[in-house]
Amino acid sequence: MAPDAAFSNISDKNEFTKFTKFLAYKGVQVIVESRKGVKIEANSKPRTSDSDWFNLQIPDSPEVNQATKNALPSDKILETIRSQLHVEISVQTEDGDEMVLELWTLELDETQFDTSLKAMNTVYFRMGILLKSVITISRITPAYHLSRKQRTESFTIFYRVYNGEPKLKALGDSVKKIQAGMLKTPLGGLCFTVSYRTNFSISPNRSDKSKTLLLKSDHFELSPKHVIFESKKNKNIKDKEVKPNRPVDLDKPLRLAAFVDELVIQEAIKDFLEKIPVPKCKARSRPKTPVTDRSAESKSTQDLDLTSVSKSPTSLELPPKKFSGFRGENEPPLKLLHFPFADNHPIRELAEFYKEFFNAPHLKLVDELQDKDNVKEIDVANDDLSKDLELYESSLLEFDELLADMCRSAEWSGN
Amino acid sequence: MNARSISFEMSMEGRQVDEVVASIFHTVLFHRSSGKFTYNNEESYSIRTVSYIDVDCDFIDFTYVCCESEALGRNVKKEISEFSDLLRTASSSPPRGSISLEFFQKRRARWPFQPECVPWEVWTVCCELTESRNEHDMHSQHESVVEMLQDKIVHITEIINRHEYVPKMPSRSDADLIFDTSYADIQPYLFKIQYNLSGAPPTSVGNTVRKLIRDTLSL
Repeated sequence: MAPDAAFSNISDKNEFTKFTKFLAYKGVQVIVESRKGVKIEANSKPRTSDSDWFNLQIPDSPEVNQATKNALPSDKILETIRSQLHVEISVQTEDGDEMVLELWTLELDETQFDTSLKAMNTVYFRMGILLKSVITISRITPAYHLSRKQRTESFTIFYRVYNGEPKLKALGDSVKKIQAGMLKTPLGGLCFTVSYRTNFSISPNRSDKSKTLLLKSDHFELSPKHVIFESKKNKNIKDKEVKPNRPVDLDKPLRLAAFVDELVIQEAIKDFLEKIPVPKCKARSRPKTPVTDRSAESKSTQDLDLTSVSKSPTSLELPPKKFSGFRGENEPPLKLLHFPFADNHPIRELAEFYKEFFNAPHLKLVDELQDKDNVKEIDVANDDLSKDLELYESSLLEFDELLADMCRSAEWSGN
Repeated sequence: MNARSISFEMSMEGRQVDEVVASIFHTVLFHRSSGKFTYNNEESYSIRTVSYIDVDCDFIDFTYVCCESEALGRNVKKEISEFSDLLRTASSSPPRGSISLEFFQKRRARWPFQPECVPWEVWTVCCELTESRNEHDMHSQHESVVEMLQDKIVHITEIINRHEYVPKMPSRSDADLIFDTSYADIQPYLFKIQYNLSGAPPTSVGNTVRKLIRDTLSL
């Protein structure tokens, strides 16, 4: 144990806490930066001010800082680092297979203290050296090589910051560990370690049993939208115009795009269905369970629920659930490191939209709607809406015919 | 004073020499360089930021990090290339040689003597050239070079983070005795790269200077 009076005065201890906080923030930044798949080249970074932390030009991505902040409460910096702060790096393939590649850990080991180090500028200087070691080591683990290939291959690297017990099991049976230096301070030894998997064979998709969830959108086959797309396609061919962004072919089964974090989507949908009075879904909603009570073990029942939800016409556009993830739902969501698509691709727009939707502030209205007094009103409204929807559904064929007719007449008049 | 001496023995193909040595030396230099000092007065200074870049090797599947400084990169490359050329044209079989990155500090001496150079840390890479008999052989050798390099990089960070001896931060008038202040964008500790083909570690600057001084005094 580090001695209680490790620092002679309180301001030194406060300064040490502040330095440690920034060591953690910058450490996470360099780890995530190294997994973006971007080679750092000369003059690739804009010259920053001369007051960079630890005199190192380390990126300062707000998203990464936020992720660190969530795992490292400002009022419990040393306590949290004593109980370990982790950055998990994982890979997800286009087919939905996922694998945790490595786990970086920052720890304050109280048994490794050194009371002789008193000067705070020396502590600061040595923290800079420790960060240099993290930067150096981050280039030699297999995840670095994999992340450099993610722009050309069909997989994406994700990261996640959390504190507490490390989830080492996710790395498989064969794990290697590297310590990227240790800085002994009066309050204990600060060290970054990385544990990484050495077996990279992807096990078969765990969700084989839930493959029924791969939706085939036959529902739209006769829809007017489909007819319009077809007629537009024909026109394009006639005009010999090749448009780079074709409309989505609804004949193809819906698939998760490479960037989609299906757990986040699943959670968002769940929240959405619970909070917003969507007809039908509401009628089928289960008693609300707190998020923390749901664990990865309950995946099979959730899968079943999702199957039933997907039958509803209103939820046909939901992303299909392809596999059950390794992570519990109460854990913080993974952040996307890099969109593996060109900037002007429509999928990018969709991703941006989704992100904005997901990050949107909480609506007060939703809270009000959740009030018990309002529940009855909502149910009544739901029943009305459900009746309306049933009516419309029964008239679907009529609508289809009407629209197809309109399209035909529009084409004739166009010609 | 005894300098801390770290020696790595590695075997590699001739074409890999430059990159293997550069990976090790640049990793050390990245840790042993700070941003440029700006002294406000004799004792107080501020330090500018160090930028770093990734370097992908051509002949080994390896990426290392080095300080973003064109001049430093050029100087290190020049020394390593000269050593590599010499080693690859050596007649001994198998060709062997060693190259050292030596950090030293200067001690002022009375006129007419030059300042004494006292080494405090020496990193030596002893290279032995191998020849692959077939493609499989080449492949496995390549892998072992990469693995060895990874081990060395971890070892370097381990040693540097022990913080055993590094010269104290100097006052303004002594800055040139500790740091190489000739670079515009970076400030490494004073260092020198030396090499020879005998297999024995190169003679250190300090020893040579000390010997010179002794010889001069004995006259």
